Amino acid sequence: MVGIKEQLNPFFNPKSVAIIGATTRTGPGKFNPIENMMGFGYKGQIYPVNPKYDEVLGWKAYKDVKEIEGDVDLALVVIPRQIVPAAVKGCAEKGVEAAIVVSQGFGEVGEEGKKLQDEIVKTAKEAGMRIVGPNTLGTHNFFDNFTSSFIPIKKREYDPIGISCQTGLWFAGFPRLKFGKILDVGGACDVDHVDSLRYYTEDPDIKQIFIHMEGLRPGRGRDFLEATRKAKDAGKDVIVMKTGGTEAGSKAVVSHTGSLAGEDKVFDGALKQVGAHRIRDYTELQILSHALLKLPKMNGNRIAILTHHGASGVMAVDAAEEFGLKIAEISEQTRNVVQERSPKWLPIGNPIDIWPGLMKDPKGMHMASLKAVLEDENVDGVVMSLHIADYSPWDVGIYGHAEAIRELAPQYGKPVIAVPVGSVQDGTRRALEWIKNATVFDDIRAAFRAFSALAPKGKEEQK
Amino acid sequence: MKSKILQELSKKGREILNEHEARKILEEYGISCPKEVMVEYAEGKKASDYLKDLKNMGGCPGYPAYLKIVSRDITSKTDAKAVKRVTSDEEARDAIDTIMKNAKSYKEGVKIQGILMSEDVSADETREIFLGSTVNDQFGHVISLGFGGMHVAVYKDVEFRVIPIEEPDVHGMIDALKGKEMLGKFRGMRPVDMDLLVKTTLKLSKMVEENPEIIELDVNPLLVGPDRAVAVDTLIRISR
Repeated sequence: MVGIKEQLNPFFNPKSVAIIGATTRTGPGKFNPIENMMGFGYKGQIYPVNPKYDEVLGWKAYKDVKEIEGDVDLALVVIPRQIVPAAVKGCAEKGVEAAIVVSQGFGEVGEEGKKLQDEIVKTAKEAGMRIVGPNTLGTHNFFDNFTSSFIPIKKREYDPIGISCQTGLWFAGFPRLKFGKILDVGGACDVDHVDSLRYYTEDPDIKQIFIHMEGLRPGRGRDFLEATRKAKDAGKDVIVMKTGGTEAGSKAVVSHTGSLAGEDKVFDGALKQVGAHRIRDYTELQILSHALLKLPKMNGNRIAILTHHGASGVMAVDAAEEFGLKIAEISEQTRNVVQERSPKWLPIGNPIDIWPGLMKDPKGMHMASLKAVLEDENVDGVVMSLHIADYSPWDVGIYGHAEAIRELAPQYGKPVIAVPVGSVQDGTRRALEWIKNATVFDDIRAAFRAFSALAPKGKEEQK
Repeated sequence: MKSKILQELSKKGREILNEHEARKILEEYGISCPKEVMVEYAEGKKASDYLKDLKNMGGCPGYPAYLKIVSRDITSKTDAKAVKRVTSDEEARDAIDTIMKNAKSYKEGVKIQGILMSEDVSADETREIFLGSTVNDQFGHVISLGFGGMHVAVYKDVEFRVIPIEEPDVHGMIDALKGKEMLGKFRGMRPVDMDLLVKTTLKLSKMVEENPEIIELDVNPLLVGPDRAVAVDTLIRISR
């Protein structure tokens, strides 16, 4: 059998697609995959299959997939469930090696659906064909302009993130989750999260992998762990959202261990074991995805806090405790740099209150203090709690914090996270977001959650 | 199946091993258990005779000691009130009568295999750890580590990992426990021997790895102190 890359390539970047169950209806609310594909800029060959039509959206239509003259890389099956097994058989006979079954009503709904699904799987196995679905939106690929989705999607900027999910929800994306490729395993009758994880591991376009799963097929857990280890070895971060699952104690057990070993608890431990990042909600996902993509990893877990307010310094200390990070013991050198620019009465420690010093020389204070902590050997990461006044010149201008970050952050391999407060922060965001090694988060806690993902895991690695 | 003792017990048709049987397998893998002696159950035998027989056996621990009913039908001796700590012959005789009565009335048809006298290894500085293993549908055999004794049922401060595990995995489990501070210098106690705790966990993981017939395992508690780690009570269930 060919490798996973060859097996799944047709799902992401097919040279030709047959749409079995093509429709001529177009426009909003008609959910026409051919219209979407074309709108998305797909440049390959489209073969509509529907005995009712001679032509669909300018493409010659076929009565049966077997009548198509050319090779078919991918079949998109969008027909009522009863006739899906026959269509898949037709694809197998035509020599199609990849099919997305969009149709619903299979294993997820009961015995009859399960029987139809088993038939599809049997056909595919015998023919060496891979199936995505059933009950799926299929794939999107921003890199090569392909989508199988019947829900319209616009072209946009994208990041080297690959998603494996079992719901169409993720196709919408999030402001800080601009994925580049996505595969919805749906009912996962064949292609599952382990397959997509292996595919993304080999895919040079992808640097980060996000998986949303409700579960795996029985016995597939170890394959999943092995695939996650390999992805990590290939330098790719793996983020997992695991939801649902049966409670512990459902089986007849005699031991405490058996009654404690709920699916969530076991998954949680397994994910920690292979260094996957587990997230619980959309907010946490965006924090981690963005931080892991944008910021350098830390060598330790000691954070320096530069703050405009004593209060947010206290919040930072609380957040550090919550996420298992240390408040850095700043060096004598750092202390001296800050002390020189601060009133004599101000005791200098970490959190470093830079406000009194910047009253005299804002830009100079930002530059000097940030440089000091970035050069400090006792510091692994920096958070800056910034007070942004409500009119725009101050956003990026007079304070000089943006200049300091822009000039200094790229020179050191340490993450710098700015947390501005103020009703107008757009200028600061724009000024900082593209800078190497730096970014902006809305909250102190978010910054520390990000640091916790960037910090080394395991006892040996911690300083 | 690697363990000879486990093979023999399996051949005899055992599914749930009693404490006395389970400890032999642990000892095969180099995990310490308390000193103990067992006298077999005999219908109508008097408490004083049990005690005499126990004391006459080689390796009988001195007082304080625990007296326990050995029965495969009782998986929690605490729940069945089938265990008692004793400090003298007089207490021991009373205890044998009491726990025998409690065990028999615990549930219908309880079969008793014997009476066990076991060293009281709880020293001032020990912490109760909970180790275990079970089989998960998706991952197969997993191992657990957490805080034991009564805490298991209430706080559920337990971490799971997939077997096989390595030393950093055990450190990861310990680090993830909410109560991990209890293992360090804590309320006048010296820190536990962390290395010993880690090694014991690895030995147990190895035991399950080499004997996958073990489908459930509780070591509760493993008493860990500054210089000892002793598996006080062990329950093993093997697949039939």
